[in-house]
Amino acid sequence: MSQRWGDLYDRAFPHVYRALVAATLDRERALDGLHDAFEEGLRNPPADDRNLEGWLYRVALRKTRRSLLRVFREGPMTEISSEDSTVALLQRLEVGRLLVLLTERQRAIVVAHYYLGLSQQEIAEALGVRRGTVSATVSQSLARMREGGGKRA
Amino acid sequence: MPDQDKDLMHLFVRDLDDIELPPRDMWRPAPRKESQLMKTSRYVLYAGAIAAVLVVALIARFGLRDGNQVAASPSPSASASASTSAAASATAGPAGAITGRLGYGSDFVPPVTVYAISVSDPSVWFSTDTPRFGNATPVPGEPTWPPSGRGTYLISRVTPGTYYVIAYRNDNPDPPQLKNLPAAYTQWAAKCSSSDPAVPSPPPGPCAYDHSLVPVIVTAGETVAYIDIVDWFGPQGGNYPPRPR
Repeated sequence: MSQRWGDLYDRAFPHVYRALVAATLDRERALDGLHDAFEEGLRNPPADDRNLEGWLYRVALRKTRRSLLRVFREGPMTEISSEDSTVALLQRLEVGRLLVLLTERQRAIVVAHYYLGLSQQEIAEALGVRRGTVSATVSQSLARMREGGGKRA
Repeated sequence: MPDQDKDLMHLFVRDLDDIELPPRDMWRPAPRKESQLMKTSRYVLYAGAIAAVLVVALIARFGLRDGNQVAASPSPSASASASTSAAASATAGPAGAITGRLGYGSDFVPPVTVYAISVSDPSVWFSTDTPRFGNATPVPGEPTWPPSGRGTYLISRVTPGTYYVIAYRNDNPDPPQLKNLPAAYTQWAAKCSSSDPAVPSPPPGPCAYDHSLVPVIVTAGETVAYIDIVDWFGPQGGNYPPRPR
């Protein structure tokens, strides 16, 4: 069982790690969260492997020291400190420059949708929020990114 | 899915796939390191367990020895077990003991080693060395033959079983052919010259019992008493087990 879980984890790692870096802007937090998710999977493996990336993403986000839930509690517009080198990396990327403009909550949802390819319903289930919240957050995020992209242009 | 969403997805994938991955050996969490506190606690736990085992072993050892001493001291002042040894093949566990009187046809008892030799396996034996007992005055009313010299012995920590009890001289007697002369607990010793008050005195005249060995049964935690080594007549028609080496 642990061998199978390890194989699944390794296969999902690159995609989920990059999503977490983009969402948290902190490579260390992303890695810590994934390590915790790996151990969680060893103890209580997900019942369904089909959306393993979504499961890992959700668990890792919750396991990070500043979990997404805490961000939600602190408010939708709360910005969190980020790792400078990661921000610098994202600034070199077209999408990265725009992601930096968003809150962590917005980044988490946008990345889950546009990078991991999760549907709004899957994101709602994974993050424990209503589908309408996901939809609204995606719209707000895109508007902000467009706004930020326009200003940059 | 709207075209705008597809474009965004391509953009996300193209850009975010450029994020460098950590080295492969960092993907999984490293085995958790033990903190100094946990390590210390573990050592303390081990030391405590070892100490507890030692304490239990010591209590068991002294408790057993005390039990033997109480039961094995019909005449503790005369008990002269100078040393006790056991064959390597003897097994550990609850033990018994053998005690009795030493007698010799003179006004002394020569130094001997008293052996308890297993009936079933002569390679299993226990022993005790006794010194010379000398020139004691015979107790009035007791036979002067045998013995005139007086002494006792105690073989302790004897594994339960059945044994012959035989003593061999350790001195250099004159004449020298008496060297290694054996004495044993025999039918004659048990019936004709016993120190056990429960054994009736033999009738006057020659005692009818022979000099064959009497098996002594040792049970755990018990001391078998009145195993008197007073018969120096020798096997007479048989053989005693050889002196263990």
